[in-house]
Amino acid sequence: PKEYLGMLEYKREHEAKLIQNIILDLKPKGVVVNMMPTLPAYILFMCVRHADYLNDDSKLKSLMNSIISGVKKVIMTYNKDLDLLSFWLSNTYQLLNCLKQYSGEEEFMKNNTPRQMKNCLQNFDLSEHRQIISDLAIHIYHQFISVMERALTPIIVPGMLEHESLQGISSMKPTGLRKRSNSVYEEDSESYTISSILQQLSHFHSTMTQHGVEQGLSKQVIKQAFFIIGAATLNNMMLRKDMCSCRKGMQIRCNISYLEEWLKENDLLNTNAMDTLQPLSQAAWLLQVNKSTDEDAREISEKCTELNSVQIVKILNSYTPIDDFEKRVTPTFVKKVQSFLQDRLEGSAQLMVDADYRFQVTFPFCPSSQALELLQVPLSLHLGFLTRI
Amino acid sequence: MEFGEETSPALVFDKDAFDLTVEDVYDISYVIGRDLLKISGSGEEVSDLQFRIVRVLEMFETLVNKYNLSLEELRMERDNLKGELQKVLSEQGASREGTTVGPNQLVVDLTDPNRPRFTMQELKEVLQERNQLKAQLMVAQEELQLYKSGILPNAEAAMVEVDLDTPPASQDSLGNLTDAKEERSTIGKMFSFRRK
Repeated sequence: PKEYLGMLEYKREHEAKLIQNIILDLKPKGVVVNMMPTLPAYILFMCVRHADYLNDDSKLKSLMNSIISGVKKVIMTYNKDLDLLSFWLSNTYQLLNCLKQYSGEEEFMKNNTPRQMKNCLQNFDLSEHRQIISDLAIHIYHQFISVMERALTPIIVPGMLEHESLQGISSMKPTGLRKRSNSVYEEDSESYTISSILQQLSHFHSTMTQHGVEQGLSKQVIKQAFFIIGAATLNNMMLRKDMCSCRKGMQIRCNISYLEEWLKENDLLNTNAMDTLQPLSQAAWLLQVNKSTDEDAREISEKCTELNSVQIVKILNSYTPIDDFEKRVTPTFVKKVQSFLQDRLEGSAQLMVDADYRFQVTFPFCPSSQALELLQVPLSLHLGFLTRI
Repeated sequence: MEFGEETSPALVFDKDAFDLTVEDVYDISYVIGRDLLKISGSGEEVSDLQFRIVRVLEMFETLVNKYNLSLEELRMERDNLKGELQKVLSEQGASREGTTVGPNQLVVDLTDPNRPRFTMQELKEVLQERNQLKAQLMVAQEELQLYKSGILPNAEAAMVEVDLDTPPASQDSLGNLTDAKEERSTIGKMFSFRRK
């Protein structure tokens, strides 16, 4: 049995074909990529290793630049394709990790096996290219988020605010991953419900899982998704009196609990995603709670930590009683609350939440235990011109 | 964005082999890939196995693809042929009063005076009756001859009941002619033949 070194050799003139087959033409669904979603990244890295091994400066540079521009091209061409974005997010991150793990830099070598130590780059320092690839990964991430947002936007307000699931007799318990399809319509397909939102979230999550997106990164995506949902819902409430009733408050809290349950089902509770829903949660609580006595006013000012005074006042003023028996919120009460809020140190208090806010994405170093010398190049990738070294 | 089936990836293993699509092969790849991750063995053993499985699934993908394509091609061809047959038949039908002829059928032109009109059964009955009448006629002719030649006495004389089975008139039977024991009317005698 031959002892392989974990490198892939190719002739210079085959570089274009390499990029074509492993990047430009590669479909995110196939036998190889479904079984081993990050194999392309490893294959590319093994080519990089060989160019480094040959001490061939121009070959290495050319390869790195081709890889970067190849991935950029795919992302730009298919900038709305969730599958491709997710696939290259995963592989770019993996390539980045490989470049670190085998860089020879001490901080990245802590978990390396002796064999992996031997596989480190010998001649060149690729930290500059690493930076470019890191930027590329960030770009892909944000593109992914915006596709996600575009998919969520039409269903957030209907699903979180408008659809009334609580008044029905039949149990409207939504399911999470009910369909693998992207169908978001309920049986009564006239409107979107909380189920539609959960189905979309499941779709995003399963897409990322299929493409081997590293867990930490996947969690960042989910957190961002939850933020978008919370912000869009809250902003809508700020503008509509008909969404500021006790009943609506109950509905919102119910939907939030479904979202929490979805996180639980998918092992995502430790993502801080729920924290992003705090402002909305507090707004919903504010709708339900008693709003008449001084004690009530104090409690409100103390509990609504994630809402600013402009927002609290707006909700109080917008509050619509269900029927004639329920009392409106008196202006006196509102003033009372404002006096309690005076002590708060608030900067510019805006009514609307900036729904375009994006948490900064991080790509922490994730070493892998994969032994490069064990990797083979499957035939269906059409890379027969690569030689396993 | 796909509107796929309502199945989770693992349910693909329950499908019938001939119902598989290429998408199913990819789902199989995904599930097996995940299962392989759970195996902790020497990296080398699992790795070799993993790539062998990849190879097998690649071949499987090719076969499923080919099978489905061939199936589709055959269906299209069959539909085309059906369509052509319909066209040809309708053209024929338009010029031949619109009848479709089966393999064991006969087309009859109703304006043809020489067209077949009677059944086999009808024909059989008519022929049988004809044969009988012919025999009767022969007997009557013989008798007439006998009268003409004077052997038989009188046209009014009692006639013999002729048995078609017995040999032609012998002397004995002639002697019995005058025996009017079993006298019958001429016509009655004429037409009373013992049938076989």
